[in-house]
Amino acid sequence: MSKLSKMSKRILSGCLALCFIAMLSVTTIYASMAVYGSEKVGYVVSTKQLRKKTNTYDDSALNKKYRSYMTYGAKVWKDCGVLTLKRNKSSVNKIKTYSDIESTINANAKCWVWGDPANGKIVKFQISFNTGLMNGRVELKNKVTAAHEIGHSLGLLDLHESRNSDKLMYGSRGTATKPTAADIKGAKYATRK
Amino acid sequence: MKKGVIWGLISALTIVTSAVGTNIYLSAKQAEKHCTISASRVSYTLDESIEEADAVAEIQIGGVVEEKNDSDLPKTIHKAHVLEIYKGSLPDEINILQDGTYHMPISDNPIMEKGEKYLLVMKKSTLHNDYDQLYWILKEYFVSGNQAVETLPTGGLTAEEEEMRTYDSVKNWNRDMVQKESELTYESEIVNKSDLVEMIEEVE
Repeated sequence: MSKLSKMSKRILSGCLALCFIAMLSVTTIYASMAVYGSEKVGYVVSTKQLRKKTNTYDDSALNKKYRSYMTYGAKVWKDCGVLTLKRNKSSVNKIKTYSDIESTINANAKCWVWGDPANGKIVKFQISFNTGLMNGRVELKNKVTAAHEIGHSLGLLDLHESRNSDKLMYGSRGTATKPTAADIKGAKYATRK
Repeated sequence: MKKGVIWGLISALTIVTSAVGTNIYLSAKQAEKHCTISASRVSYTLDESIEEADAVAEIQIGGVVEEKNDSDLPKTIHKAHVLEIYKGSLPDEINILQDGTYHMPISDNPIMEKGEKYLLVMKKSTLHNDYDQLYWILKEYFVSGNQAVETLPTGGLTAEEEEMRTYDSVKNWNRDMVQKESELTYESEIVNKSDLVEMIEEVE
């Protein structure tokens, strides 16, 4: 009887230890998946965020037209009091162009983080404009694309539900030409110190 | 009594070593630099994409042939077996060009995996001369059984698309579909594949 009781105590302590480890793992996985905001509130912030209010970019590889798109993008974010983005040739944040007509991607933003890929500060970004697709579009659309990509460089994610088609961070065919109140709210969270 | 103490010590040691292990793992991860890619896409309705496409077909992915990292945007070439053709003419085996790679995927478009079935609206590639039957993707739906889910977001749905029957993933449990939905960074409706095919054939 006493042997049985000891055995059950051992099994119990083993189970407790396993539960503890499982809880730790679940917490870690949940924390790594968590994002701030939702489609419902009109902004979704990645777990990777800029966490500062000023940044720089190097657009020396761009022609005058594409430089003007970036200037517009930087201006609309500055005007709403979220981020001051200055041009600087020695910046690690590069703006480039490339041409690829066999793709549905107009432009892309690559963001690098140090440490845990699911939870870190953005330390470097690169925005690339696909001239193969963007050259045929009206200028305002391209300027808005630049502003949208800058949004990604802060840590904002694309919105996909049609109720958010009036937001700057809507993934495609959006109507916004500058950050809306919801975009600003998300961006302020992503750039908090 | 002694045995009790030993067992207690073993349990404590297990907890401590797992905590230390987790810490070492996280520290090692912090020494790495990681990259994520977000993309702005051209919008297509299903009708527009079919009209522009060279081929529309259901295919099964056979595996990765090559990862191309020589341009600004990394790309993956998959080999695929053609299961059903809805537009154009295709040989039994084709190659599919997808933006992103396993290590650098585009955040809203998971890399296709061996064995998975997709309904693709495609254009023939003319830029990669080393591949004869290479197609790039305008619209992409992951399919399993009679369920389909869009895995490449290219704009909102048209009124006609919204009329397609949808599935509730809980009520109509499909393990592969639930797995695919969990890979998406956005909510995408699971639609009835027969309805989708009917729409495609109507455009055709």
